[in-house]
Amino acid sequence: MPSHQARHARDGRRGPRRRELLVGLAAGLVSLLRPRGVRGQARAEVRTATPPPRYWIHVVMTGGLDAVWTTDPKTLADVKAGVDVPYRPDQILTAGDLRLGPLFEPLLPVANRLTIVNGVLVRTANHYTGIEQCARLRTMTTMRTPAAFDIIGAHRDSQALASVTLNASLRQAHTAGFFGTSAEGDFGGGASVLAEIDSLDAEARHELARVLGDRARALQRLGSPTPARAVAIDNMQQVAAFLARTAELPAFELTPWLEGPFKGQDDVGGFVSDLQRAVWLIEHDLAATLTVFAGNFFWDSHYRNSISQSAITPVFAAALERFFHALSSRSNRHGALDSQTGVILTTELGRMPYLNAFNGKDHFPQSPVIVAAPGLVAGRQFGGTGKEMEALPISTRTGRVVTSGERLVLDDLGHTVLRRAGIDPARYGFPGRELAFLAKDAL
Amino acid sequence: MSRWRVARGARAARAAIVAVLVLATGCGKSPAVTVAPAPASPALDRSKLDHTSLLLRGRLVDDAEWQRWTARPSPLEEIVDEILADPFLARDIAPALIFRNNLLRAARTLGMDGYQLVSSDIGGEPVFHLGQGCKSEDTAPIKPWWDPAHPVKACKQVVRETVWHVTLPGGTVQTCNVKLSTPKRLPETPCGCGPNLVRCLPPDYVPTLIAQAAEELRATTAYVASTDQPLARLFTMNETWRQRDMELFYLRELVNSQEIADPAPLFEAAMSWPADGKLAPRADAAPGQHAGILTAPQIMYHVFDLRQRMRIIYEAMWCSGESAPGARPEDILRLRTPTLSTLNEGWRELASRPICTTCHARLDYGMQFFGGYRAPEGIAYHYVPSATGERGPLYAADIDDPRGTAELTPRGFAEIATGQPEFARCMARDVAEYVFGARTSPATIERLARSEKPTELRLRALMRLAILEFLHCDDCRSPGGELAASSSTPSPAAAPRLTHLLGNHCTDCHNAEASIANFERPLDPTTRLRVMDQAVFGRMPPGEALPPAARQAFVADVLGAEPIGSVRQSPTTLILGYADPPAALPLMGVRQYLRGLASGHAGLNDLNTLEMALAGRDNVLTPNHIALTAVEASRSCQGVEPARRADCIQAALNGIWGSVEAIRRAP
Repeated sequence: MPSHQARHARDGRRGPRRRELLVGLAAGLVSLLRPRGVRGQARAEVRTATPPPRYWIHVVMTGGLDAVWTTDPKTLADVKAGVDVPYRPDQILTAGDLRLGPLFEPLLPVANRLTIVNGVLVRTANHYTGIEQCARLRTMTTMRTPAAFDIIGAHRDSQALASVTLNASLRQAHTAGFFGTSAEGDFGGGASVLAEIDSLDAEARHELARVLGDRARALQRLGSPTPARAVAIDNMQQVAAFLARTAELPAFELTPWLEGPFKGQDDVGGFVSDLQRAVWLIEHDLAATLTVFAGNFFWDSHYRNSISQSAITPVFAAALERFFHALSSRSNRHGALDSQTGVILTTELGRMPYLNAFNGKDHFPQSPVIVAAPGLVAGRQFGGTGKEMEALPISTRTGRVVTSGERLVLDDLGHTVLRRAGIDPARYGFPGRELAFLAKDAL
Repeated sequence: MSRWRVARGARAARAAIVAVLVLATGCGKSPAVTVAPAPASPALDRSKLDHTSLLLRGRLVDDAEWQRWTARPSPLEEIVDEILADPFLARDIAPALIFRNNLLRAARTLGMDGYQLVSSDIGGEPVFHLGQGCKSEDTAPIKPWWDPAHPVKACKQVVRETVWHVTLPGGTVQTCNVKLSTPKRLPETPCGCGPNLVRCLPPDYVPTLIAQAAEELRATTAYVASTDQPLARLFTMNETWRQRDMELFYLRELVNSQEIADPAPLFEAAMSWPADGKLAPRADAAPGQHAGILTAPQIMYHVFDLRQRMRIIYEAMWCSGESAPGARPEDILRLRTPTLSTLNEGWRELASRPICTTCHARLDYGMQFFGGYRAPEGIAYHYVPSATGERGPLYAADIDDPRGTAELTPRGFAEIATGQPEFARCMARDVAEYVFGARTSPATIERLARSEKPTELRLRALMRLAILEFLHCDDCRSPGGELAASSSTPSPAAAPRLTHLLGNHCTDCHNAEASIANFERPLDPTTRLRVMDQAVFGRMPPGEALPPAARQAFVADVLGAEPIGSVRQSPTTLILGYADPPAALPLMGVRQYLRGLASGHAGLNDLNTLEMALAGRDNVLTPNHIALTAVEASRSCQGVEPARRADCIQAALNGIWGSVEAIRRAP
């Protein structure tokens, strides 16, 4: 292990409070050293007790995770007759306050970092709308609606790219700030943008960075820009910065990640490489936000639900455990990655509580979300579902089921993430409510 | 000309910028930047003709053409016809316009299932079997369906020529060519490969079928476009343009469908198929089976789910692919069926339920026409004529919008669907958005759609109309020209107030008499934000996005701020910059142009980016688009000496984004 990584691993063992203090000090120093203009641009709009995460990573389990197998385990006594509960009560796992379904067992080592919110409405039962919404962390969208991550990315500090998307399989993931890859062969047999850039040597990248920088400056000098030109200038600057930075870096290299019973399954679902790439991108300060579409719709279990979900979910959970381990063991000049990174896990739609004619489960317009971010509570479980797994009304203050409450919507998650990023969602017309129960200082 | 996309910039400033836009010459030939002569006549604008040429030919207008066109002033129509004659339009643009690369590309997998044969050495020669070999004396020579001219050896017990059905443990009768009947899934199955091994696939054959399925879609579309046939024919004619293995695949389906005991002559006759393919009819297992490209494997076997398949079809034919939120858990639970997507027991109720009906009337009634493919009763991997009913209705907007009835066959569907105004508008929209991109006006789409009967619309004629409209329009620019154009932000005083905007755009539906939110009353702050959000990003008003000026006015009034500064500094800039984003040339044209500089050709399949699957209106100058363009520009200058390479790259990019020198010199 390189010395700086070993040091941070040791810091990690000293406990989060001390590490956060050190990171806070480091961040303060960096902020003082930063040129005045940059500090002004990165100014947060909302004051928060804990500094906003520098990076955000959103992982979407594509196809539709089955909550009963993972985030919302039930016993037969909890549900109506016919609702599928495909395991014994003693197979339900507990980790502190968390109750996990058997397929999330590999997540147990990191469960204390996670907060689960069950019963979030996504207002759709089709993948296309679901992906368009998940990409934006809100509902009622069009292809023009900026993603929550586009907004956060616009407030980036010195990261090259505002927002990176990995493994986007549907065009609905596209926004005016799009930069990213697609699953192999999804939109053609050739290379992705990252492979295209990797094909250039350092000199060519620097050359292109200069050319793009020149053009962006020329456009800037035209004076008061139209909003479209302002977006174009920012997009050119992002690419120029990315080319220049990566010219100085060794190429990203995939390493075997999974261990124990999952050893050798790094290729399953394709997410191991994307999660590693995501860590690499933030480790090198190349992106402020990332969205990883995991699994190429492997979770879409219309046929043989238990077999399909069991084939993908534990491997994914094992990869996720490695991902959290990577965040806590790596750092960059801004500090340890886990103290600067907000992680969100969603799935674009959920699965029906009942089995269909093929022992599969069709789509359900509600899904769980998982968050792990500095400043948010960890190791807790919120939300609630009824006897047919249907979302129940909850209090946005406590996160507990109350008859006077309202059901949560994906927009509430996006809204809360923006707040945690130090941005006032209302200034962007971003819908939703703040989920106060997720804030660490709320408890 | 009443176009809303013209509301940008002072005319004089625009003219000045357009006049100084210069053009790059090819890097391979000369990296130097040359200044184009001023337009010879008001009718001929080189920057607009360059944009036209990039769109339709993947290259700029060359100097010889320009001199010829300007030496003897040519009618614009003649010039456009000359540009339209380039094969790029039919070969590359047409397929990408209608189907886009998420359908055109060779799929990772298609549902072209079969029992996977294994080849082992038995008795000193290769023998096919299904996992368990056999003794040498238990093998037999067989003419395989994929190459009957070259017999192979197979274990006798895998053939079972006379068995076509199997009764599953639950009592269901399945055809032999479904996964559940295979020896792998059902070891006691009586099914085998069948005559000429029709249910089986040799090792490594699927990639060939997948590649040819994609090529069938591309080549058939190119054929219809190049022969100037109505676009409706693409969806209604029996013939497709296909290669030999695809023909064999269709025959294999026919054999399974009709349970043909001795199919060898069918397969043998296909051996003389030309290597490059040909246009040929397909045999129907029952009348109405084939409907143009709709029943090609690339569409029929693209996804498992029948509803998703209909979504793909409607997206190509009616452009109906917008997001459709509104589903609630209680709505789905109330259907009282756990099976929503495959057997679809509850489909009639879903199709008529409020909110659901706006998609499901169209999707669910539409999929009844395709029930013969993977019929609910059999889930067969071939067409099952008996699964189709008599006649059925087709709906458009919702259950109250019937569009006629037809035989419940793919052909019946295609005949109704291509006759609808939605089909005409979709074909018109594909073309208009290809030319005008994010700035396409609804009026242009309507003009193109009404230029002919829906079933008579032709690609070349539509493109000609759109291009001529672009060239005649004083305020239309190439994406590069638009980027350099000056701003025309309306002053707050001139911007209409929210009540006025709501009155103009919303209260026809949102009024006191309606059962939805009433916008005639003062709105609370949360509702104001919501209204702005829905109006600015195009969800509302339904079916017609607001013009940019109205979007800007909504934002100015609700957020009380003007778009000043960068996307970092100003939420208003970000909102409006995403709502009305910087347009980009379609990546296909960009790459063809840049490859052409190095004397190459850009294929549809040599990149993997979702920007190859976007509708024209979504071609935006994203970081991704910029990076892909820049890398290709760099590549086009690889042969240039290092000292001149940066100039070469900039010159290559000038052809797409406008001259950086001209931008620097702009007032």
